[in-house]
Amino acid sequence: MMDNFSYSRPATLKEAANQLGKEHGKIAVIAGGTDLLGEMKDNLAAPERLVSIRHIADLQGVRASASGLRIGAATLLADIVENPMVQERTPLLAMAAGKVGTPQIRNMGTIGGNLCQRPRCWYYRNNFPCYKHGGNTCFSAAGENDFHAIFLGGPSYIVHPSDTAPALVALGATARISSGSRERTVPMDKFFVTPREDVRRENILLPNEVLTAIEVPTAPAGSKAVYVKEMVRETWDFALCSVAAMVTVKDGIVADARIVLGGVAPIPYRVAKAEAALMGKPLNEASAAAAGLAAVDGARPLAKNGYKVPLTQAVVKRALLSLA
Amino acid sequence: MAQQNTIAGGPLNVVGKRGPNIDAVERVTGRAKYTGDIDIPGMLVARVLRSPRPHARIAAIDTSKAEAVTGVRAVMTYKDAPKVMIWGSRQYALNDRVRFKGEAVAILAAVDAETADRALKLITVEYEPLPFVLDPEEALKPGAPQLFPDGNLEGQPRMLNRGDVEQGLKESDKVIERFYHCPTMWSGGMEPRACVAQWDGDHLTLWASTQAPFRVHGSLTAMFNVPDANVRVISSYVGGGFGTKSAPHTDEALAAMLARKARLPVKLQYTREEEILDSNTRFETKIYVRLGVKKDMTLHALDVKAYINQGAYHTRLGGLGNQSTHVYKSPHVRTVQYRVHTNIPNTGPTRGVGDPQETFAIESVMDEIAIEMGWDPMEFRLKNIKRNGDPIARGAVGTEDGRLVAQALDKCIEAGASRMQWNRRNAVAGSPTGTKARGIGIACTERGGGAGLAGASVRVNLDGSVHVLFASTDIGQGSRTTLSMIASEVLGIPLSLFRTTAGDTEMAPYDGGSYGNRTLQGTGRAVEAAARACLQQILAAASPTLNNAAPADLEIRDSIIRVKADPARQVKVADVMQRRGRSVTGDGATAALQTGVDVERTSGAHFVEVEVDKETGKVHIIKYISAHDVGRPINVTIVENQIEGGTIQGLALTQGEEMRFDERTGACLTGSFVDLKPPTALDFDPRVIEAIIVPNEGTTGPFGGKGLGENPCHPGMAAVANAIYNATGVRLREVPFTRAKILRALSEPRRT
Repeated sequence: MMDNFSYSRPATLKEAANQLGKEHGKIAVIAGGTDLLGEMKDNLAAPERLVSIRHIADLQGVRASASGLRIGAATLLADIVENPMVQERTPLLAMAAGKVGTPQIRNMGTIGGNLCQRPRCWYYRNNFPCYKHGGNTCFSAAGENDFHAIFLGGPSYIVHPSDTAPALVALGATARISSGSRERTVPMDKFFVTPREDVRRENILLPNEVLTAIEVPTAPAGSKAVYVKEMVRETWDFALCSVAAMVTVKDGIVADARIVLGGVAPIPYRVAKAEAALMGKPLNEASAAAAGLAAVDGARPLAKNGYKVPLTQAVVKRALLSLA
Repeated sequence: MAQQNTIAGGPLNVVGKRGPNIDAVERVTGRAKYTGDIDIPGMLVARVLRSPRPHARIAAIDTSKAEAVTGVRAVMTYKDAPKVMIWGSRQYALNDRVRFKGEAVAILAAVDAETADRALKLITVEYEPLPFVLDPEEALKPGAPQLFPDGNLEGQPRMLNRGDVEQGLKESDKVIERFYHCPTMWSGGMEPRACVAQWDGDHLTLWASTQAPFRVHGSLTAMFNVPDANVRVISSYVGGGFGTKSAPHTDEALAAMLARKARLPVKLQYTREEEILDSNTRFETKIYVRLGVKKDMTLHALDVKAYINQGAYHTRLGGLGNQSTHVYKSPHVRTVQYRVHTNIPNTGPTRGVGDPQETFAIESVMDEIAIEMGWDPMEFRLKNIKRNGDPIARGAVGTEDGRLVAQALDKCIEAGASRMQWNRRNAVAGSPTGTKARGIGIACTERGGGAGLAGASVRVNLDGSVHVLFASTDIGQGSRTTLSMIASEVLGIPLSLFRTTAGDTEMAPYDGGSYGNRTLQGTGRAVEAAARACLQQILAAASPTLNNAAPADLEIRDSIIRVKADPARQVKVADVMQRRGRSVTGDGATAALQTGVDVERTSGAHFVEVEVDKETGKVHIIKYISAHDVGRPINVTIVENQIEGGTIQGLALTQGEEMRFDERTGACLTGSFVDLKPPTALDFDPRVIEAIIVPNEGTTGPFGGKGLGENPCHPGMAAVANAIYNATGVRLREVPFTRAKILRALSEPRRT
């Protein structure tokens, strides 16, 4: 059961940012709360204060911008899935958002929350004193690591659980971040951090910062994209492995390819080698298979997650073939 | 499949029809009051402090700060808990030693949930850690951590010997030796455990979500040393049990203890996490099998050695069923079961108890040897199954002193094979060359039903409406409906005039409860007897108005009593009852079903077609046929629901649902639905599952009906493993069939 906390619902972003503190954990930003409230009930997080950004108008909705779309961080995932502009200009994001959790979660959860959610590692979620909780070990490394990282692991072997993150990295999106007084923009592939960079955190947000919006460039003309997610169950599950793929074919050969993996690394993991394997080739069985193989080059599975290597290889190949 | 729906007395009017549950509207509109809905003025909220260690002695426990919190009305530890074990278990409600992570250490009751939660955090416990063990084979090794003074083995190994297995294996033309593993698996219902306890002096009323109110009653009367009449257990509506609620649990005792100490009613409701951790889970089994056959396709020797991981305590003794001894003829059979205590949470009977695990082993090894011998796995089974008249054991010792009757396994196999078109299966396993390979598998199973004492009362009111009262429960299997239909058939009074009271130990006579395929065959026979007692009284009362016709010459149809030979002479039941001026009551009770040499069992055969994606390891169920002998179905809709639901529950064990434990800490890692991964409505499409009710008639149950609840859950794991083999040529001997296991197996060099 959760501890007592105070709750505020400021009307503006500036007000909200002013209420944030200087260290992580004590004051928490809440939007949909689908992850944070679960963490609080499980005693994984015990913030003294929650600052709700859910009703701040500036953080809401999808708007057209010069280069594409500006999506407020507090926009519901369900609204993103159904938004005609998202479907038309960045269909990859609509597909990925539609794969998050369940209808109930998509009706409450926001895109910002989906990007900032904490890991699903069962050691972390069961409050083992691991790196993520300030300890000095990762229990999965020599434990039950079926669902853990095969890339970029160590010292923690969590995987990033977001479905929208790989899609946004593939789309070349940018995160808008505000501390109230200071705004900054960060390319989506620089938003996430590996455990080697910061073992306690999964992104670059400072304690006094709020993710306010995602700017998503319109997918290149002629590009095709797909998000494929493999799960134990058909729904209500996190990815064993997912792939966001966007490919532009010109004159019969691949002119641009973005392939980003989910569920296999502590961050959304862009596989440049797989992209390179496609470039300049026709998109067919042979090039897709080569890209699948290249995608798992350098994978370092743990004792129980070796299956993710052939699984990832197959999913990348199939995702690409579905675009041919 | 149409069945002649008549019995010796004439055609049936109610039994054998389709129809919705009579309480369906109450349940889906929220009018049905479940235990969690019980609200009594002044009622306290209880919370449980649970051990963070898998094995420890409590060196010190301090509750003073919690007791000082305003609004806390009672705090209890082992120091003031009764030293009486929970019925059927080796567990005290609270003890100075904990044997699994999550075991109750202290409890308190407060005026509201917030106060209770706050106070719970103020209890300090000092643990003296003890070494722990999670694996049942490890737990039997010398030097293993010991859970109990008499060791980790529960009682003696359970042995059964028929013939001479070693000699039989020597005589066999082919012997194979295999190992099959099923992990600990959760089987709980939608409704987590809940109870409300209220004392009035020395009288306790306990509302509980249980399948067996009288077992809970017995546990509590013993614990508080009060007469039977002083405890009333009520379990009107239960949101699923699946065996996990078939025996008393600590929660009922904890609520009653707190309510007694606080002198106020107490509600204790488990969270989903508590329900997963402190429930009775399906026990892990490690089964070693040796199977010998003769060249003439006959089974010759079967040797089964099983390690049953009972967890910290056992809730009733769990073990294998009779798959090794009762399905196939074999001159030499030996089973040895080691029921072992380890430091994982409690296990207990869950749908099928050990039968699904045993079926997985036996039906896999049957498949394996048939394929090695080049036999059709179905023909091999048909050649060896026990048929009517074959010797079969009546008791647990294994001597085949009985004779099988009313068996229809051959018909189940034939009906299922025909529907599946068994001949479509790959003649050579693993022959499909594409990425997606299809294959077909079979698995058979059997079980008994109806054991133990059962009772029921039927009351016909002055207006001719009827009450059926019983102390077993309707846990969603539809017993309110089925039992009412039995009484309706006997009495000739339409179902619309029926009202049921289920699961109340004060209103209804003793009944063991709803578990083990027994509600229909136990409570159902009691209801039938009770209704017949009412019928005789009504007919006797009607006789004077019908020219003193003998009761045997009268019948009731649609609440009208007629002279059979002269139907124009009639009188309404309500008129007879009004004139009589006293309601009519009948009691029924039944004990052992089978007294002679005849042995009636219930069997089934499952056929599944799967498609294995060889690149992703995903297994899709393409078609699933569940053919079951149910005797005569009382309500066809309910029977089909039971078959489909049980089939899906069996399939759930294949996909990825399992309880996982961390070896270094003994912690359960899968304490939530996200990590446990029970299947969702999207995982097993009910449209691909087809229930076949094989025509048959039982010899002991009401109107020839047989109990069915457990069986459909048995064969799924084996059928799917056999189908995966047929599709891919890889044999999976460990459940669940995860992507990891399938992709690993597919990448290994194949035996030829």
